[in-house]
Amino acid sequence: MTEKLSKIADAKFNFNATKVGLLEKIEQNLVFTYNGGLFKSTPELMATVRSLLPISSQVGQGGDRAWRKDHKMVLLDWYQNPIEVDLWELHKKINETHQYALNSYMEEYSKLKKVRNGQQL
Amino acid sequence: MDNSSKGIILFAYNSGFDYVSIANVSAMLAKHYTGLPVTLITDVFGALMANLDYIDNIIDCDAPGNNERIFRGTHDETTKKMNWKNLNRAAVYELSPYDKTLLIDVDYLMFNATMASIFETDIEFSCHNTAFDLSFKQSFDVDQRLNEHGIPMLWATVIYFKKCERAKAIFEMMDEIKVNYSYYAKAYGFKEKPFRNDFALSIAHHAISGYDADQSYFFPFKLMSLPPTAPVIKFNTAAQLVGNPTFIGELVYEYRDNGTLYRSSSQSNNIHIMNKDSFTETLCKDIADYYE
Repeated sequence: MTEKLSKIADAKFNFNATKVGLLEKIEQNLVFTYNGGLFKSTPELMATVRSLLPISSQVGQGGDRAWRKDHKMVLLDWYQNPIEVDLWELHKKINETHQYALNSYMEEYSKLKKVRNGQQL
Repeated sequence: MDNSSKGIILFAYNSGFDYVSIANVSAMLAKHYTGLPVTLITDVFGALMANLDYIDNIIDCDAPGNNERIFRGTHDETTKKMNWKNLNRAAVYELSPYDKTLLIDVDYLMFNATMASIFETDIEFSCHNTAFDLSFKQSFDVDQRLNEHGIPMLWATVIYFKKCERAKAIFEMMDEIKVNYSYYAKAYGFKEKPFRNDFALSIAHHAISGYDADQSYFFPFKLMSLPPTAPVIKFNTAAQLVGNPTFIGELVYEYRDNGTLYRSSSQSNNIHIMNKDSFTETLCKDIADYYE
């Protein structure tokens, strides 16, 4: 076996280390912009926005119609800047971003789990 | 409606490495993921190079002075001293034709669209304040501050700015630091040579923020970096089924840990490649073929 081939065959794959790199990528995928502000779709933000929505609407009962017409609020973005948000729009965006980031994490994590040797990459 | 002009800027001066060709690959990826025009700032020799297919605009600007830097070998202790033409980075504020500019190093390759979102914000100036070592050795831990007890270090690899007083002041101060680099090196406790834009940016940002470690406007994710000891060995494509079904690009690289050779992939992260030997003709061609 040539030295070059031997080197390729020897290449190990460190699953845990690569997973850390993958998690860092998910951090990027969680970032989104809304109305000039920059947000990160964290569980904390998700819970905050959810808690500001009227309870009746959360259980699918239609909610307070008058309140629904005026559901603008001011929230702080990632940089602590005040941003006027439409709670429903923001709620949707947070969920979409979060789901996209975690779905792609699951997909790539599943692929990584199958890798046994660096040669497979 | 935001009518401001937006674009990406790269600086490239050939010296030892073919930075202009690398800039072409970097420009192609940046255009693909942001949809924005790319301007290359280079000298007359760079501007005359053929096949700058992905550059929309070339600004001819000579590289001032000499700045020598030692480049380390990939898997051994060999070093080579080369001219590093990085002294006019702060001129980007005056040279940029855009209202909103993303300045990236040529060795920063985009493999996702995260950076495009920064243009949709009202941020005036942003950069990275943390870097992540993809060879998992925490080799950038020593770069968290300019010295052990110094001010926080910022990375000039990717800088976003709007044409505004704050950005102008930061770049003017970087220029001032460059001119009096020996003084600042002594005052802030780092080596006088080579000149590093990272250090100039760190001091300028700190000063313009009122000598405060202003944490407000850094990118909310780390600068993913491959250190000089981790060469890229190939370009891969992988199916992405989530979101818009498409294929994504990633780089496969090698690193050593306690003598053992490991291979890993960049997972379509935007990535700063410090090992310049990685930019082989084959790698550049494979990336270009895929994204064309």
